[in-house]
Amino acid sequence: MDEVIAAEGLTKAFGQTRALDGVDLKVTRGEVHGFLGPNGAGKSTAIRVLLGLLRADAGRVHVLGGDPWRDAVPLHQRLAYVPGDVELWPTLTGGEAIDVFARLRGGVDPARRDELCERFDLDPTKKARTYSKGNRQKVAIIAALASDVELYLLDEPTAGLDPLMEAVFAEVVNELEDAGATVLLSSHLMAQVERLCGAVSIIRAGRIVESGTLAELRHLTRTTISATTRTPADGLADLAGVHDLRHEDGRITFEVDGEELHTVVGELHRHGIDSLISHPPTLEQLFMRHYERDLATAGDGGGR
Amino acid sequence: MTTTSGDDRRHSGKRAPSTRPTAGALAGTGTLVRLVLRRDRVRLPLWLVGVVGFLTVSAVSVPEVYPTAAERQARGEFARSPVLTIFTGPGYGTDDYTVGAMVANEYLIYGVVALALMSIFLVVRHTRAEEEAGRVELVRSSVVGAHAAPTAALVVAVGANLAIGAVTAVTLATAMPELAATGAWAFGLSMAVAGIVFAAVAAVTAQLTEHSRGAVGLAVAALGVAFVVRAVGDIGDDRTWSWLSPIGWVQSTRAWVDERWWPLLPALLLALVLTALAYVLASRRDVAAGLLPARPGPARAANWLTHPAGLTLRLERTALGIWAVGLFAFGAAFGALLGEVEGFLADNPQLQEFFGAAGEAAVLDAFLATVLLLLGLLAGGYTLTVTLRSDRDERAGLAEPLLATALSRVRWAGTNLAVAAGAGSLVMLAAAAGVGTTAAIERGDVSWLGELLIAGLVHLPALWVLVGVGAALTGLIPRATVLSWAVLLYAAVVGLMGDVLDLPDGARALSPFHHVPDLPGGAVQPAGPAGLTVLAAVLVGVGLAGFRRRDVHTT
Repeated sequence: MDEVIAAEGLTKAFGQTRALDGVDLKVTRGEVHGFLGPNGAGKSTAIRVLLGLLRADAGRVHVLGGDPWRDAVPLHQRLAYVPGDVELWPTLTGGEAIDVFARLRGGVDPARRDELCERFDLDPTKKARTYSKGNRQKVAIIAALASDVELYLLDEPTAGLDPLMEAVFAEVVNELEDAGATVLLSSHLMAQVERLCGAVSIIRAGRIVESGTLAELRHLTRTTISATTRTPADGLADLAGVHDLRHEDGRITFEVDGEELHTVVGELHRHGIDSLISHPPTLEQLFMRHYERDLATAGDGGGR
Repeated sequence: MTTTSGDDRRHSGKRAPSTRPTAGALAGTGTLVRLVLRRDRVRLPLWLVGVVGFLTVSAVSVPEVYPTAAERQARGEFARSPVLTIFTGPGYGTDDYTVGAMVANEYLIYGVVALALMSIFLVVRHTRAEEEAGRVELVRSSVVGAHAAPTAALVVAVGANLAIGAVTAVTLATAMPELAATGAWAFGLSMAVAGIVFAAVAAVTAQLTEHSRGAVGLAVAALGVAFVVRAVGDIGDDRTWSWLSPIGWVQSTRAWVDERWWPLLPALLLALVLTALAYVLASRRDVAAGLLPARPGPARAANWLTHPAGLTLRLERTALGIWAVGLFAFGAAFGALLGEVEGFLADNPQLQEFFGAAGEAAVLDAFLATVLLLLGLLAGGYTLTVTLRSDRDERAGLAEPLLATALSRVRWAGTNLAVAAGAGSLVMLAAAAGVGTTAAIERGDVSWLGELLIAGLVHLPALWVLVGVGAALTGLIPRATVLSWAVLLYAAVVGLMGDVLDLPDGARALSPFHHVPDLPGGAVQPAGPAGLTVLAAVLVGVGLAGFRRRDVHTT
């Protein structure tokens, strides 16, 4: 398997704060990989290590087969980056800033650039100081996407974009995927990652807590089931793997672990199923499961 | 303010709502004053200690360096010459040059310039710089009046100036029994009032430009004009021009000679008028806007712009143009005074003795050496601002996306440093050319231009050392880049005050400008400039190596 990004045990501390605490990250060529985590989990720090802007205190990291710290320049010719918080030179126009970034990377396709400006509805003749946050973000996105590279590192690229522009962005990412590019998309928007990404890594407090394809992760976690039965299905609550059981107007709703699904549905069947709705686990649930664990530990720590 | 315009409408029928924020425009000033004090709680005490300490040490050294009345009298003769008058003060009390008269005549100008700079930086930092950073929006969206922010900055500036003036007065009167308290207060209040005037100047310039650097530049230019106008006036017989300059006013209090207080009144009046002007200008523009509307620019970058040097030059071109033209004009003003300097010597046989056999040539050389040093220090200040551009860009989050392209760290930072060295050199040569041009016209001899250009040229290695210091700090101790200014400040003290403070050679040698050959007039000693160039190269190399090894500062 061709690994575009391979990081093992990355740690990085800023003073007392451990921003990365042993991050393992694998991104395979051609995949759009979601990088999910709450604010401050270490997403941006990890990406900056992948870019060679920060040096990891420990661990091994390879990007496109090279060491990002040592081979920054040749690697940067083959990748493009969109920062989460875009700052521009106030006196340059948006168009000039796009060209500066794209050409310094090694060339820009003018037709592609103009097409992207049009699709993202950006006026490139305006001075950067007149741009809103969303427009500054568009400048960085266009500068990155106008380059024909192998790997795109996108750090919360759609923060500040309106839903219309988010849809355009999703389209463009799909095109990149079709063209065979690899994308690492950091985000805290579940819906976006769910729509765009085939694989996901979830980072929490400087550690990767889940990683795999969406299908694999879903298998490991709970399915939501909502059903009505002819006789009351009272025994369900005692079954292993059933969580959050609720009764509403004769309808029973609960979550069930993937490996117990067979048993639980069998039990429902014994009571006679009138209607049955089953949701695969959403990414949000995946994410919240780890997040809730966080909240629980925080609560215990608080001595409640 | 919205409620007020509502009232206006009700009372005046059809009249359009008032365009000017009125009542409540100062709401929240008290809170903002506390915010300014909180943010400047380290800076302001440093200014206090620095200014008071410098003036006290300088004043205390006077009786040590000039122990006898005869020696002081000789200095008094020199103080009457344009050579000293141009750079210091009007020369009250040179007939009986007491310690007090000497302190007032020669050191008040340093207090004035220091407090003027402090006030300019302070006011712009809390007005235009806040708008530029976008923080004002958040502040103004709460219960804060339209004029609260500039008012708070001015209140703190006035308080800081008065406090530093008062502490200076008390310290001088306490440390030196021969200095009477009345004179000490005249000295302290004069410099405080000058600081207050330039705080008001900065309040106006902060309304004019969109960028804080432009606002600081305009206000400092006003300080330069005030300095030159009073210099022209002070070397004249009746000081007519000096009465057109706020610095001339505050230097007219005649501390320790024959104190008078009324010259401070026009200065305070000017400060009030300027403050009112700032309020009017502020009422006529939007938050964060300058007075000029933004125009569309090119949709594509020119080819040269995507070279790192082109990018830096493009970002610096306005400042570079202003500095080159400004220092050319400043230099030209000094060159034009050559005739005055020489003519004065012809009229003063005593001074001819003072300068010895070399006579006329020695006076002119001493004058030009001081002029070039002053211009060199100013060009050094500009050189440092360009040198520290990469540091500012890094802090602002602009370095990160650039360094994520195929641009290497060394190429990016190195190009910035090369542009800094080049732009600083250009500004220095423009200044020297300014002196040379008017000197050549004044003397009717074109060779002066060439001589002064060479005199400017030998200053360049000292500027490059400043580039090196900035580079080394950026690469190795990025938190302490501000220390590069300390090197320039030290060079200013050594260059302008070294003789008066009687500094030992070892201490003077630490200033890069100390190794610049005295031209025109002196012999060209290639060792000094060559050594400075090597030192600059080593510092740049160390800085770049450090920058390659450390983390990029990210936001």
